[in-house]
Amino acid sequence: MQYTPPDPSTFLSRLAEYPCCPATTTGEEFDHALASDSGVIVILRANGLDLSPFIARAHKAGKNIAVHLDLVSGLRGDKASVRWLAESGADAVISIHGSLMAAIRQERMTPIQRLLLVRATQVARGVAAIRRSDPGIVEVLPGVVLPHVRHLLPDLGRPLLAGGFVRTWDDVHALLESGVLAVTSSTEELWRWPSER
Amino acid sequence: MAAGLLLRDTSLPALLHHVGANYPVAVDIDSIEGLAEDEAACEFLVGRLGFRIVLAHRVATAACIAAMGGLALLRVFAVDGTGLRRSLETSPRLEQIGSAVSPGIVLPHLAVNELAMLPRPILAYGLIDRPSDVSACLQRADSIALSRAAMARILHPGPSSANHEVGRDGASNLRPPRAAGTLGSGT
Repeated sequence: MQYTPPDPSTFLSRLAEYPCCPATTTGEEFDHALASDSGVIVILRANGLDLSPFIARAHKAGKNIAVHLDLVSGLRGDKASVRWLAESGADAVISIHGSLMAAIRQERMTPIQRLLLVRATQVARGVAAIRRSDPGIVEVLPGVVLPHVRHLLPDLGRPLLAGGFVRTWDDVHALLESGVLAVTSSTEELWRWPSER
Repeated sequence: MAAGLLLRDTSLPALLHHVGANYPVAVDIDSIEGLAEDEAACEFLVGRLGFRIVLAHRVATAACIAAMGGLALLRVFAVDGTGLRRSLETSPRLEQIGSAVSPGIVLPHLAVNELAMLPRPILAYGLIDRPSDVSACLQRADSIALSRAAMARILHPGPSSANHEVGRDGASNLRPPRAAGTLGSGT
């Protein structure tokens, strides 16, 4: 029986369970991500043609998986690769390409569009692209600067993730205060609640 | 502090207005309408127009600028640590090639080892918007780029300049300021 991903609102609920999603490869840190407190794991760099066993392990561990289509190897950013990821069991797909959001949604996965905070003019173009493509979630990078440039972003009307140079709990708290739903980070110290909590 | 002008998001004919200027001029070659990124374009900028500082995203373009005696600043997109380390590990180290880090505002957040990997000189380029950003970036960069809107806010803070504009960071036609600039060099 083919796997059915959670609907976007359920996926959002999983994201909201814990403030930091592990952003990982399928290397040894993947096991650490499986042991994290987060309900969602983001796969950034991996062989996109060989994700099924990793995603199955994640599902077995009670985790949902978001795959970064632009960063995994072996896949071109088109509808066929989106279908491939759906058949591999992905729950959400991240891409900077707004044109893929509809295809991701059509495959019943949650579409996440990346917005790069590089220059003000590019932010404006990115915002316009997001309004056209209507993703379920927007991931802003580099997330660590978001509290400083929040004024550049209009209300996008959808939840925000923040990733990129998020390395400390102070970064996480600053981002949560700036309105993001959760952060993504490859810093393993952020993958579990601090022990003194 | 020295100041100069960064020409970007403009057209090839507009470059000619700044030839022979008595202020330093840098050119973002990738954003100049009508201009390629090949050897002829490099020769035109450095050899004929006399622009000694060129920002480029291609290593080959940067190497070409350096070979012609100019200073190339290779674009480094610093949006996450993993991507930054990977791009720097594969980027060749060549004389006369520094870094233009985008967004510049991320520089204060880089780890010491990441900063050490960036070829010098470093230009911090993008989203530097407040006086605190300027001072933080200049502690780590050799120079910063400010948009026209950001410079107005920083030099003339007040209610009328408090509106933050999206999509209006064009610095291409600024006249060079005396005290601070679109391309400011620290130390």
